[in-house]
Amino acid sequence: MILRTDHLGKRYKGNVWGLKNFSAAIDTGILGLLGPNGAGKSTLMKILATVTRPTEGSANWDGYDVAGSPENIRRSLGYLPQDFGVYPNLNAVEYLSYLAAARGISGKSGKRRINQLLELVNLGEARKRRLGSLSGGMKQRVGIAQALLNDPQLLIVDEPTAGLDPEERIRFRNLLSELSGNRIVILSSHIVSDIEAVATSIAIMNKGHLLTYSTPEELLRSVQNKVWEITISSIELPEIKRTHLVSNTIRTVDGVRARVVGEQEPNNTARRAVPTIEDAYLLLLNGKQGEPHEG
Amino acid sequence: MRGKLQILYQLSLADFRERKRRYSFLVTMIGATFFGYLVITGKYTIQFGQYKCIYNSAWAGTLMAVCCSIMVTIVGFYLVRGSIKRDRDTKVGQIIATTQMSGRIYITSKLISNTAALLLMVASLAVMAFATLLVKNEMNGISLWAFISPFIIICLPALIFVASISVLFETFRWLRGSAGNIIYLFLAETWVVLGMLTVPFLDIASIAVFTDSARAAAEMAYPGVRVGLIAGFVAFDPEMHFEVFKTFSWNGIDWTIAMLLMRLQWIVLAIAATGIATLAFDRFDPAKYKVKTTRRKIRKLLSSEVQENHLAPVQPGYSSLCQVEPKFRLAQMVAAELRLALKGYHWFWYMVAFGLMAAQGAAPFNIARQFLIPVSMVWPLIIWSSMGTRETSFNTDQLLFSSPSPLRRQLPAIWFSGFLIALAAVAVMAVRAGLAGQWPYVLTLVVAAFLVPSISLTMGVLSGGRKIFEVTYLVIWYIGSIDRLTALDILGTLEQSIMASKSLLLIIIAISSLIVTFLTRRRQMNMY
Repeated sequence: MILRTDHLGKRYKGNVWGLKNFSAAIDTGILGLLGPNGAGKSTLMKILATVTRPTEGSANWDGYDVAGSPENIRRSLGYLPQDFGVYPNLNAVEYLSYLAAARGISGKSGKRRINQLLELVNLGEARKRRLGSLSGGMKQRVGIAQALLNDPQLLIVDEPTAGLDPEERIRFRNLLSELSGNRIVILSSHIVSDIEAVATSIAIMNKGHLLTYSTPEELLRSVQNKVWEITISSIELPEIKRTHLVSNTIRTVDGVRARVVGEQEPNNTARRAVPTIEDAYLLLLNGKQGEPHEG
Repeated sequence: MRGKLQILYQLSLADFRERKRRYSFLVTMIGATFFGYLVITGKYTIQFGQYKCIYNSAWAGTLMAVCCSIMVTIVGFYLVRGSIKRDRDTKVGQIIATTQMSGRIYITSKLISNTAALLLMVASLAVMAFATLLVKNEMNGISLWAFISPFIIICLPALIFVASISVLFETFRWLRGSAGNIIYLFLAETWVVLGMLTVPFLDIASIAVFTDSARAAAEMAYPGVRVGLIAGFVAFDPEMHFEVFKTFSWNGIDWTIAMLLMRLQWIVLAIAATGIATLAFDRFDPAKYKVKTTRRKIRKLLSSEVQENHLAPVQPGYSSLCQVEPKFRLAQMVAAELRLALKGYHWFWYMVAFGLMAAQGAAPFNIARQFLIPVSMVWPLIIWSSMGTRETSFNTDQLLFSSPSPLRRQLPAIWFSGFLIALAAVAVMAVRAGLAGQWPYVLTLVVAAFLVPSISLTMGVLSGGRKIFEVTYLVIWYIGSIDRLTALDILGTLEQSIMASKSLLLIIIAISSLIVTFLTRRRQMNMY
């Protein structure tokens, strides 16, 4: 079970490329997609979910071309789009039953699975409530449940933690970890900590291009000895921000503790810090400015 | 004051621009142009028996202005309504609500934008009429005022009034949906018909004023003759076809103060409707348009919130969930589509639907045929018009289009659910007719049940919205099955409406439209 993309690209109206030259071999585990708005994450996911067709290149699932034979991947697919809707007059069970019918899931086992999924996403008590009356986070959990209806071998989730409270976010991360053993999970998020917590590989994208595709360890190694902590006064902070890449600041009684990412130490009081994925992400985005990944 | 006018101008302009860049507006303009063609070619016209006015500026302008006013009154409402709904749906309204802009300015801007859209439509028809006049003019010279004044005096007040009613209907929750569409159609028809017949102050399109004036000219030219009149689709009426017409000269309506005041009345009514709309406008407060919740429901909701927050049920692990073996069943999908289509209406809707079915069995045969069947076949309008649009309007398209075989599974299921609903709407009457041996009528009913969901699905998939089907179907339904124009009577309310060739044609139309639906949906799925 492997998902390959080969120079995948999508051009939108007005000759705007949403995705360009994306090549990767995605194996079982969780692939975290990181990138700013407009990086091409959602476009990539829509192509892989057969919602949109690539303008160039190809994607291949288990030997079948995704655009040419979408049915093969659809049978194995669970997909949660970034923005999806619900039918407000249906309750969660009815909504999931509807989508289950579209996927050919029916009968007693189908009903049991729907109820179990609703328990899994902590909506057991709200299963009979009209979806129109649910909060955004609860609807998002219904969306997560629908993506798991057919026990997908390929799970694509676009910004799944949007609208979830911290407790639910952790619950969802744990669920993804449990899922990742024998299937491919592709997860996109703006929240680096979500990716950091669960991803077994990470792809960083910008302006439609793949900047890097590596394991979290490799990514962390790329910023080894390049992350510094300095304590400065509030007055000095704007100048440091102007001249250096500051990934984080914390107010302390001694001033502002700033986390600086760069080859050179920002001043002689700087101390080396343990790097994080966020540091690597920022360095990559600001250092390469969208320069595409080779290979 | 100048600042407010500036805001009003900018708001109206933005709304109008947004509207005219929509695909549906293009379709509307094409439809309006086709209507203009029908008028110019005499297929839709006002005809005085075998007496025909000499084609001059007054006739060309007044005829088009009156026909435009009828069209705007009946159809224009549907074409312009929805701009407040759009702001509500896109949540732009909530941003607008937080600004300093008053409800009065907002509602007025919608009125202006609606008026501008209708005006553009009428202007294009006026240009068509003028071009035709240049070719067909039977008099020496062209009088610009005689041509243009009917558009100003007849059309303008009518379209301002319709634009205001459209805004008014949008500000009342219960008039926003399909119920408002049906209510308006009856109101508009009443205005037009009563105005034409007996009640001058309801004559929104000035039909009576126009025909009285022209008829007087004809009767003066041919003393002692009683000149007949027909307005509408003359092309479908064989009695109105003459080899040779007798001509008369007419130089336009001689407007009196009383007549002009009658026209002014529509503008005054438009201002009043806008005032009421301003008072009723909820400023996008979600609390005012959400479904009312009963105390019992509130208690139930609160109890489930409490349980959810504090009892924190123990979830099973994913690996412990039961496994499923996907196997598609069309019946399952149709049942799911039926549930989706039929859920969420007021209990009154279901009660009337079942009442109509029962009444088809109890009422005298001809009453059921001429009145109950037409009502039964318009009652589920809201269901049919949602077909093919739900995926877009509820944003579930990505979920469904990434499911296995959406074209072979979900699309036929949608159609089949609509067909079953249509069959249910006429079933009792069909059985009754079958028992009475009236098989051609049974076939007509089944063909109608086949046709209506087919064209609704096509229009829904093509346009992505409900409006085009609702307008088209309501107009055909009204003209055909209420006004009893046999060519358009698809429900066979009159014996002479039933023809084997017509049924065959309708089946061909239905099948063609289903093919168009399939191809369109396939293209849409590849277009993202």
